[in-house]
Amino acid sequence: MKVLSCFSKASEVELLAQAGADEIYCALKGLNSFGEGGKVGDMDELKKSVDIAHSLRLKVSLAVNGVVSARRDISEVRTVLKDYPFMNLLIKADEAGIDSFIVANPAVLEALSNYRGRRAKLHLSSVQPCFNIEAASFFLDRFDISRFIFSNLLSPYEACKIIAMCKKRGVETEIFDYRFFGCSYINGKCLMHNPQYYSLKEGAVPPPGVAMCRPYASDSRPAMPEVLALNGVGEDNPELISLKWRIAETVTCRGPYPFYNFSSFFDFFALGIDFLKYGTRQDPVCIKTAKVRALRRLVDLAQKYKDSYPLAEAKARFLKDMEKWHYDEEIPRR
Amino acid sequence: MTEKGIKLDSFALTRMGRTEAVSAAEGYEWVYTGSEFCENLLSEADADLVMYFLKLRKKVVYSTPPLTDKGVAVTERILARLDRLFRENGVNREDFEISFNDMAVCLAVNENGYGFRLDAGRMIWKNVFVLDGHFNFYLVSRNEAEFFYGKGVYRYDLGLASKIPETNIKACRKYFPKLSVSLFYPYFALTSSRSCIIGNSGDRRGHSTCAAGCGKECVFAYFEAEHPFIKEHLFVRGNTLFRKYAADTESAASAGKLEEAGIDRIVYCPYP
Repeated sequence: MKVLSCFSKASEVELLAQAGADEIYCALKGLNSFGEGGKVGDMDELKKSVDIAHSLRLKVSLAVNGVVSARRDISEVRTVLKDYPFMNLLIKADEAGIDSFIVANPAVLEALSNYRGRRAKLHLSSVQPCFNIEAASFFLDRFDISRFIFSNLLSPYEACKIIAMCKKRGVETEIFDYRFFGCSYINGKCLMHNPQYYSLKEGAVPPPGVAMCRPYASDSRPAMPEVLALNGVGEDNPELISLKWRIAETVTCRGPYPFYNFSSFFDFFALGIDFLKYGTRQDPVCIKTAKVRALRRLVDLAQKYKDSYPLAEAKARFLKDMEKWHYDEEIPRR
Repeated sequence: MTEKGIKLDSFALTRMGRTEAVSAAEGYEWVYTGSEFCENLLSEADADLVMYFLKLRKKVVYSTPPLTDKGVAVTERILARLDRLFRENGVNREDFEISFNDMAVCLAVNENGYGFRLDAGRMIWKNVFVLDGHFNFYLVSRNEAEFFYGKGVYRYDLGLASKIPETNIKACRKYFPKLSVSLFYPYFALTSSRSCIIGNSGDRRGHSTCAAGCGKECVFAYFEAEHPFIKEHLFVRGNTLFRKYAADTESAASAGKLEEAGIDRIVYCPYP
């Protein structure tokens, strides 16, 4: 398993390589991607980053995984729907030497698959989540996809058929490190990150960088918020109290219960996933490198035990070691 | 003329019972049933419910959620059963649509030659439309619409927010003559998870989750929850969070404003 890290400046590339990254990826201003934070400033910076990365034998992916392809002023499409020249920008990025595009929208996949001059490979983004082998085949059959990126909302058990299919076809596979990335809701479909869909309470100041889908960490939860059961369920119903607590916790603290933990990581590792990714582009470089080191240690530890013990024992030993892992001890505060 | 639909899925039917559901459907041409967001709520008996409403001379949309391999297997059985029931009962397929939220369903309908019309569900519209800061929505690139149009997907399910939206649908019909939109109201789906909001609790340290566990807790009730920072109350049903809006959709439909915006169907959801 290789380690893949995000970056947002050319100056970060060498530091990430030293921290243990085997590959890197970024997003570019002017091109639609999932999330606007930490994008590489322009095509020249991208080219410079690619040159540095290639000199260090690192491959570079470019995320163009906006759910729609276009990033345009609505006034342009209000009355007439003209073509959007996103392909021109993608061709320039291809010419800058990137090794792969990370793509979510099927129309962008189609356009890039049909572009004969393309050098870069295509990775299917988790923002276009495929939770079943039929949907995965739909994309793999139609487009020239070389890597499949799993949503963090699919368990290893549920993913194993897709992993087997990818291996059979020579398609690489990738998961996220759940510690540092991943919404508990479906990426690309969640509107909680965008304040246009609700209004904030008067005087309410969410902590900086907080995700509204899980506004408090579990260790700093607020008082039990108001939860009402609707549609005629009596307040004296014994099941109601536990359900209300669960909802309060989900809506205010942690989001829905995550599928991933160290155990599921080990299962993915044992199933032969090729890449482990960390992708919070807006992190400062000291946090990026700390997280890459944490990914590296995770992979190396799993490999060490897998090489030395039968699988069940390797997993037990790995989990025992990882029980001691604490975010605050390894990752600096922002 | 804007068509009217009502969402009567298993949750609504459990609460209303069939008799009340049938009377709730009075005045609506379309009945939406099935499960939009959760595969654990799919059942082969859904096919019989579709046929039940069709025999009552309702037009029916069967909604399907994002699917794992387990859900694909159930959905394939439902589609095959529907196909058989349509043939046995001689029912017109023009009065029936499948709303999909997973490409596997689009593929299954196309590849098996079922001849069911396909709608892109509320988890798919973001592939094609952009919602601006004023709850207006626009198709911003021809490429996306062409991709789905080529697969027989002409209708999109979207949510209605605080006002009748401005859209560019009429302008887009120059390229996509059959392009059409259904607006769901009054609950607007904000986000959804495969891992349930009200179920799936528990500390699983040391163990991997096999699948989204389901105790059918969502059948119990739906909930109104306060968020620490958001002014509006949120509505929780199963694995999905909603916000409720009070747009005067019915009167707008009768006044023709929705049709002016290119919206040709509205769908009332009595529950989230």
